[in-house]
Amino acid sequence: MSMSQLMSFMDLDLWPQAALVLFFGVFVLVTVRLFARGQKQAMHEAANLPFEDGTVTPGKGDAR
Amino acid sequence: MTAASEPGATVAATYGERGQQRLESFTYDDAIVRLFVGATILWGVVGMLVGLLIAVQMALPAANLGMEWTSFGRLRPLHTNAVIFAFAGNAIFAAIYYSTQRLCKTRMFSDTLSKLHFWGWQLIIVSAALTLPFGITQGKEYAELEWPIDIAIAVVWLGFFGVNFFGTLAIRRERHMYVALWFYIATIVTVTMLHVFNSLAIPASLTKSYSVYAGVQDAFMQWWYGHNAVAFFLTTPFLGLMYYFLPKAAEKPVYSYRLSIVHFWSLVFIYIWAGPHHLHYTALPAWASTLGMVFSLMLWMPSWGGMINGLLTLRGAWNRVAADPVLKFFVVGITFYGMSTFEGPMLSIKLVNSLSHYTDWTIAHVHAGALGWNGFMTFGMIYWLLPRLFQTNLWSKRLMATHFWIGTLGILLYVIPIYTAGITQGLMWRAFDESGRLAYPDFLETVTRLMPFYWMRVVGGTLYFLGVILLVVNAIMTWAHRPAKYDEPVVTAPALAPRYVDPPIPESALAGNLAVARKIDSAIISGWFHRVWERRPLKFSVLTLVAVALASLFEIIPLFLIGSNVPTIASVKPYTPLELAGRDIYIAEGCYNCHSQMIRPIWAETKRYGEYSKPGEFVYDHPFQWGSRRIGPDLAREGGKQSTDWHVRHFENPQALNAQSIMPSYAHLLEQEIDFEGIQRRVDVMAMLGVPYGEAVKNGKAVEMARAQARQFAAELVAQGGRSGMETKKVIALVAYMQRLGKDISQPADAPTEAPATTPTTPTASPSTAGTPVPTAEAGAAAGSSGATSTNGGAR
Repeated sequence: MSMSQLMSFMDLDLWPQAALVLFFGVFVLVTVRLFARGQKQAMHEAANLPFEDGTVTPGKGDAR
Repeated sequence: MTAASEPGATVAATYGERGQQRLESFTYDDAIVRLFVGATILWGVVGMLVGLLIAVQMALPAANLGMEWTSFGRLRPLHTNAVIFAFAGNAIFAAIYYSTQRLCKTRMFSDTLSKLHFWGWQLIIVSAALTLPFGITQGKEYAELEWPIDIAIAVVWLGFFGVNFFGTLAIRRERHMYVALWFYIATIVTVTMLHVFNSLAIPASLTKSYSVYAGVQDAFMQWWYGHNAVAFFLTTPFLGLMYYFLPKAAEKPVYSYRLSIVHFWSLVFIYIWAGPHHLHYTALPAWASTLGMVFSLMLWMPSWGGMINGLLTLRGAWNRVAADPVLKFFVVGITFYGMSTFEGPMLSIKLVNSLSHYTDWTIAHVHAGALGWNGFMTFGMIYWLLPRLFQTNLWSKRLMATHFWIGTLGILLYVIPIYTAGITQGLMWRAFDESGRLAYPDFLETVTRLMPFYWMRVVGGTLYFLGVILLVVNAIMTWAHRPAKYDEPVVTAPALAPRYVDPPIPESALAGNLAVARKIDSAIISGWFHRVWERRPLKFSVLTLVAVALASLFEIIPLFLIGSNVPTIASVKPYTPLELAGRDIYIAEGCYNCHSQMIRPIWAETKRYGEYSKPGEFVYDHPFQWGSRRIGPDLAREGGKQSTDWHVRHFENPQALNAQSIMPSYAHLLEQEIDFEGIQRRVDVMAMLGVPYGEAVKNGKAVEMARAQARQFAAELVAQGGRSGMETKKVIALVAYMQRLGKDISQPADAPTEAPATTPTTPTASPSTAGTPVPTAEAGAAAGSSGATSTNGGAR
């Protein structure tokens, strides 16, 4: 019996529900992350990361 | 990496960095960014020039230059590969190498890997340019490159680029990973998965392989790949680019970091499901295409969240946008992102798609995204980088502003006529007259109507291309004014401490609840769990992979493993060895770029082309050839509609039969010899893939069968008053394939149950007699099958 036939006999009715639960779970986690309280400071610091390149001092230069 | 060190302070806090943090000095590798920027510009010119050439070919077939290597079917894959993987590819590498070093406060993990990545990628691009025009292709859109190049892509992408990137994350000096890095992680992880699984193939020679998937499954895998190539090659890395370079150029942090987190996870989780919307009303099971549509619609909101986040980053800085063309490029780029991500979900709605699919509407949609979003974000980034990389002022700000304006005008002049062309053709295809007949039964009529729009596209494309030339001039002149020696600033930053202790889970504010509720409140609702992930690249990458892989499996497993998705049709048999050789020529010439092989169950289509296509008809199609655009008519039921002589004459000179046809001449197929000896190996590989070739796999048998069938076709050609001496020419193999197309379901089944087919169908029935379909029960309600032979005559 091929895998395909075997799978056809399996009851996969649960899959759509499982996918729904999975999707809903991710949705909830993202929402929670979004509205989590008390992270204003952390968010502010994270958003400013592109402006921190380290302390730059002019170098000696190298050949091009 | 220079890791000079001096003792730093010991962090005494109870959490955070634990242990001694040394202050370290290092330099950023900008030389590699300079290389990637140069390659971006170079391949941009090449890719867009090829695009312009094929745009001219649509309006003026003579621009095919009369050579097989420069025909539309061969150059279109070169154009798409060049602009996606060479232009956009090098652009995202430039963005990633520049920003990752700075966001991680470290030089790249390995300079050797950086160089291997750069030169390896350019070598892949050159191999693409050296194979695609010669018809060496796997015949799957945006995944055309043959198996040796596919392996090279996997090695360069994951082995060089991936290892270098994740190595850089491992040696970073900034604990928190900025959101741009998340987008880069998703890009690397997902593109690897898509590329590997879509490209699985069995080689028949160094330059030819067959996809391990067939028909419906191959179509699904291809568009799972194709759609997510848009998502994870043309969207997520460019969003990373946006989240880094836009704040830098605007000198303001991103409007909402929260929104960027939602943007990231929703795209990663939702995009991966959306692929099947490319296959509405095809033989793909309806549940899969509905799933694709629903997830596509869900993409609209997070995408617009990202667009709004980008645009609002400029709040209070709009005066600077007016003065700075770099910001202008970004604003228009992000606006086009918004337009494309509105239009994409709209086109995924089945009803809209039934009109838009196979028309130029798709082409307009793609170019709004590619020219507007990918192109303009790239140009904005390059103009911002040029003075920094070459340590001098940009040569001409005015030229940059001119580029912006003619580029914008070019996009509009490209997309507006092509939208019009798409809708016009879609409506003409489905128009009926008052007596219930097709209003435009001649397909050609729906093509010639589009010529003015095609010329307008040429004008728009030329303007856009001229803009790129201005970039070339500006870049070269800026480079020419570089200092004698590049200054290489030394950067200092504290190393990460050997250990990091996550902050404790905050106290829950709840009182009087169960302990478990307080725990959920403190660990999850406070967002604590995610902040921990954001410091752990490995965990983060694994979770991203889980998100994309899990979603993929939910679609792929049922599609592949439930037999009822592809009902077997007893009368559908494998192609004969000669037809297989003909099919390979069809693929090599890139016929699928202009012709579909998929009749949708829509009245106007069955009326025009014949009985709608069934999933079971494609079980031996490695790879599938359903196509995505009808520049010429559908060929799914082409078999028997025309005589063999008609086909040969048509391939030789299409304009001789249809003066207004825009199909290139394939006269070379009348000259070139069929590679009979190579056929055995190809049949054997097909048999390995499960195609029941029976006797034909015996050594030399397939060759013998192919020669016999070729002689039959050649004799029939002569009998019809056509050329003689064609029995060994490629055109005979191709015509044999054309004459087979779509006929099996109307043949009587020679086996009562599923087809064990020990021998391939042999051309015992004269090819020309097959034009009279014999409806069977399996063919179902063959309402359109009579139309198959009558409505499309001479329409090419």
